[in-house]
Amino acid sequence: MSLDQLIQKCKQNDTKAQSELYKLYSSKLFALCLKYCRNRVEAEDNLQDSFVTVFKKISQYKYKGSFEGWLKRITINTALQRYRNKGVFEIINEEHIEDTSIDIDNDEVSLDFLLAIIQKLPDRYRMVFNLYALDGYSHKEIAAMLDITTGTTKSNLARARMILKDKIITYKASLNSQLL
Amino acid sequence: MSDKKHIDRLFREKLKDFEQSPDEVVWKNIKSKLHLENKKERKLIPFWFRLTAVAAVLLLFLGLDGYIFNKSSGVPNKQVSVELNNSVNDTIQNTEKLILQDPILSKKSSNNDVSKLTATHNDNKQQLNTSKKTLSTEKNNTVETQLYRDPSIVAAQQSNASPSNNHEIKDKLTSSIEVNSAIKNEINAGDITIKEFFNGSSKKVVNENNSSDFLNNSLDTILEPDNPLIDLNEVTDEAIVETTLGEETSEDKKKKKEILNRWKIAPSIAPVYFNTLGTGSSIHEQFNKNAKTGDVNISYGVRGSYALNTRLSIRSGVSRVTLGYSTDDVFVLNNVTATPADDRFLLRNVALKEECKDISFISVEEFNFAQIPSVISNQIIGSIDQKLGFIEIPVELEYELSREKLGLRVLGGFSALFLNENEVYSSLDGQTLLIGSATNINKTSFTANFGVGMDFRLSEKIKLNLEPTFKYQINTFNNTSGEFKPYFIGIYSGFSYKF
Repeated sequence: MSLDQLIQKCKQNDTKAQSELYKLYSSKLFALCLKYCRNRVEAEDNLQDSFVTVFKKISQYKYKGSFEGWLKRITINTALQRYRNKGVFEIINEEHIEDTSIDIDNDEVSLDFLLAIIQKLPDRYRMVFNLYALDGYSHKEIAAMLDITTGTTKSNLARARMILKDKIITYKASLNSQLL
Repeated sequence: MSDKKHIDRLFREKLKDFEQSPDEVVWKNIKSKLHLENKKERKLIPFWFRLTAVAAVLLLFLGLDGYIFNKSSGVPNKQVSVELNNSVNDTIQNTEKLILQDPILSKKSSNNDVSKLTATHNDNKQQLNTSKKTLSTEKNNTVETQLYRDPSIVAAQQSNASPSNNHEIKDKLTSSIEVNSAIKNEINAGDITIKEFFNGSSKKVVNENNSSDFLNNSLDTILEPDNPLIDLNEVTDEAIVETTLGEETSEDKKKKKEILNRWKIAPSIAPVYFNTLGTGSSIHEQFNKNAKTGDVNISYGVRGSYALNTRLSIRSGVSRVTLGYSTDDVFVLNNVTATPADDRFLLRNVALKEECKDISFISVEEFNFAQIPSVISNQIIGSIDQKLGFIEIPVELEYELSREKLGLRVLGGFSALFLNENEVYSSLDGQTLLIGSATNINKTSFTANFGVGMDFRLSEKIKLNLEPTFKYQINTFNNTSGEFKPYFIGIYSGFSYKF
């Protein structure tokens, strides 16, 4: 069955098709949820809410743009909704932004570690970092999505990067000290 | 080998193909949620179509329209309570906005209702706003920055916050409300300006963190969850997850309640008393003036009801009902072919059994009483008893007048009666003999029903009911003579179970 056929069947509330669609995309979207949420439990909740929305609104999908993109947008929006108004107000001075490059090899840090430190970011930082760094949204788009100014998204992003960098450096240091 | 790379790139590369399958329970939850919603949609629409016509007729019939317009008064009530609720949230939120970024509170505050509300609670709000502003500026400028620079305080705060759980958050909410009212009082009293108030207490927070001073404590609570640098998110993660989840499940439950609570099932049993208005007979015109005694029988069955709105519900069901009555003062004459074997006295509405063909039934009214010695009359004057059984299918509307612990309802509607028992007995000197069956009973007939219902709530789901109901039979009998207007009264009792 082609994807379009599957979507068509989902539009008719076909349970089997829904299950099929879920199997097809749940892993990808769950990874997305894990990045945008604070922990696994919330990510599962978010995935659940996202899929319920997907199946409820699938009739509104008009085959414009990729279906996966549509699913991702719904998932991200669900997460944004979840953490809306939970932003942090601190604005840091742009001049204080340090160098955000880091001396590291890909193999030095595990995916799980990176995921964990993303999840531990304050909500707004996490949203902005995910949207900008991982999912390629522009500051303008992010500002519109979160209903904040681009100045805020930029400072949030900078702050998120600093926190992440600090954590990676600390982690690396602890690894090195263990080795020594 | 390591090389310098941008932090974004590191994450992007690492997480590029990241996939993880969720727990199986997620799909189950999705399925049940979808199922629930489909069910709701599918079930409600046809049900409505079918019942709208019936309901419309019944409404006209019962003249309930007055009640229905009154019912709308129930809705504003609800809104008022919602608004009040929101006003509480609003009040809390004004002070808490910066304090605790609670998802639920903030969600509610984004509601339009709140903006409406602000007007009504302007006084409160203004006061709160002033305090809020002072609070936030004070906090942001002085305390927060100081806290930021003072890692020991951050640590202390963190350790304070670490055992956080739902209760504590709640406590904090209440305590901060208390603070708020304290602030209000302060403003009203005009003794201390708010600035001084907070300056003093914020200094205390910074300087003597452990002071047991009430204001200090409360400001402490206010400050604590707000400071992003303390990263309360991290500390109270679990708690917040729990509150979020808790709220959500309770919301879900509420939703479910709204969906499922509409259905009610109620088995009932009732003594029913059958009689006729006016003088007439269903058996023969000679008995028109005879005394008729209604029997008390039993009706039992089960009915389900569906709430159309908070007060009005429509109900139906099935029950077994037996009715009986006796036509008294009848001469029962056996084998007396000579006596007035007139056409006049044939029971035209009763098909007599073969062995009973010889029995004659003559109303006492036809005789001059003086001619018969009482000794004989006692032995020959009996009665004709008619017994009817029906399967009753009612369609009734029920309007709730009171929903206290002791509820009161009025109800009205129709019942369809399907005949399933039809016997005529003759009763003489204590002996009863089946003589045949009536020929003038419609297989299907209708009654118009009116009743009052009382119920006593035993629990959220179970109620005890008592419903005296009057049922006027419209076309049960054909060919009646005189004014034979049968009805029956049932005192229906039982319990109802709400899903």
